[in-house]
Amino acid sequence: MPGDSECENANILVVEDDEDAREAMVALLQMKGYRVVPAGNGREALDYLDQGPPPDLIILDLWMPVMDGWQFRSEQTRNPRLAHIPVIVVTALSDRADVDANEVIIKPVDVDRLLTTVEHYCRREPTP
Amino acid sequence: MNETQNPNAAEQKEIAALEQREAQAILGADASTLQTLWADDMVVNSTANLIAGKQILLEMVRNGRLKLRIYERRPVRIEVFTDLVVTTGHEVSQLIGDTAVFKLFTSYMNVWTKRGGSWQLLARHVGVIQRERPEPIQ
Repeated sequence: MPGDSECENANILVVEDDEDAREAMVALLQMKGYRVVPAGNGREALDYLDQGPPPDLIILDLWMPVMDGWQFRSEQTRNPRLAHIPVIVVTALSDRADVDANEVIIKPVDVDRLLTTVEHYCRREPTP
Repeated sequence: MNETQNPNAAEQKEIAALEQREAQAILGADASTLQTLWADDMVVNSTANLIAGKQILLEMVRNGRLKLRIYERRPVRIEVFTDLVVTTGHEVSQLIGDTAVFKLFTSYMNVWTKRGGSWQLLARHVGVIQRERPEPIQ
């Protein structure tokens, strides 16, 4: 489980415009020992990624103002420095989750499934 | 309707008291009371669109991740179905924290079940009615 040596210090970027949902997810992941950076939309997320080291995982909402999840994903995959970062899409749009991502989880999010999925990607060997 | 006309009056009164006790336990981050009041297989669907069980929620209470400044609950209906009771009503809550400090007005549905002679909260769903950002402190 998170908090063990393999997942400790894993960095996760949470991109979600709904403040309630974002803060709850951040609190949950921090409680499990992850280092978490929140972003309110795709633009904020890209700004963060431009400035700092890439995170181990991105959790991405799709329907957001300013820059939505599809646009963000398109920008991310075009950037060789960022393209390898695994992405878990979390969305209410079950019939429109036509996005290229490692995982798609439909809202409401089962916390057990989310933590298992996060742990899976944070345990992966880093991509060179 | 008095108690002779309402055969469920005793259960309704008991559950109404438990609803307030549980709300006070959440407000006071009283994990030991919540441990008793929550069924081991409890399921909660929150306003944050997260579905969580008893253990993760207790962990959040114990770690101070679910710390509230305000938590008021007002049941509107309490329906008794033998060993199940469904309560619906509204709540007002406000987290303590650096962020997300808006006041939340929500509707809720709680399902209580009787196990081993005691009532426990088995399921809960909360939906947002309105978020209200507090006035900035001058």
